Amino acid sequence: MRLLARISAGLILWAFGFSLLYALQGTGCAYGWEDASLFGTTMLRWILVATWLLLVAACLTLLRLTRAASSDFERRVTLATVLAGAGTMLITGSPVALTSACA
Amino acid sequence: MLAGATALSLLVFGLLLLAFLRRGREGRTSPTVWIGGLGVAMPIAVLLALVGYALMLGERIVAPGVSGTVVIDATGRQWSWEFSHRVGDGTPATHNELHLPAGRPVVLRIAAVDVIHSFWVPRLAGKMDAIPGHVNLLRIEAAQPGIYEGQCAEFCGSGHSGHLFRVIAHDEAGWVAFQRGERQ
Ligand SMILES: [Cu+2]
Repeated sequence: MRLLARISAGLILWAFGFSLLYALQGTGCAYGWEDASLFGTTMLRWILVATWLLLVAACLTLLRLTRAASSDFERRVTLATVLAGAGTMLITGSPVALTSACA
Repeated sequence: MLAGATALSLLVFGLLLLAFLRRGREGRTSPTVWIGGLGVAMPIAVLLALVGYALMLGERIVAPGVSGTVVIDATGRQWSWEFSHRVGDGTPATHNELHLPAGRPVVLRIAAVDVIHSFWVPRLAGKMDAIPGHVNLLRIEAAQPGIYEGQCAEFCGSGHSGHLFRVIAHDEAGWVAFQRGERQ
């Protein structure tokens, strides 16, 4: 069970992060965070981009798990899933920086 | 679109033919190339390009618009469409007939009063849902004056198949006349 948690942690964190960004975007648009400007852009943009970058960083910290691996197989699977999770977080979250938030 | 599909089809046919012609020869392609290259790297490259294209298209559709953009409210109900043109005095509202100027960007504010409908003019743009209590933006532009057929693209009850409308794209003179309230 612990093994399963370690080798799927990267993908689970990505799933959580994507849901979090999705929820923040809808909530922010509904509550008008798009109308509050802050340091050259909107408050919603800052919140979304900061959350996204923190999530990518959090995904990368999971690389520590590869050191705790008890076998070579576990180490390789963990490395692959953590990198997949971090890369996917980077790409699926990038629209918060690239596209218009509320329309 | 057709050219791309043709090129891809020819590529696949060519590879298939090659496989038949070289049957029996020992392959020397390593598993790394098969799995890492063709199974992982190639789909990622193709999908990233498509996502980039889709994001750009999405921005163009919902873009707030340049100055001089015409804004029109489109409201769906069972089973008609109402269009408020917000031009001139009196704002001519029409039923099942959307009037717009050809060759100019038009932003539609799409909503519904009862159930979910979908605004679709195949020759002008993709579908956009018309949702009660929520306004969706869609940017369209008719290149040529003329009549473009539209239809509801979301099942909305027994009258769905007849939930039709038409878009009338005016030339400059026709648009001026329409704004003045003269209807041909
Ligand atoms: Cu309908």
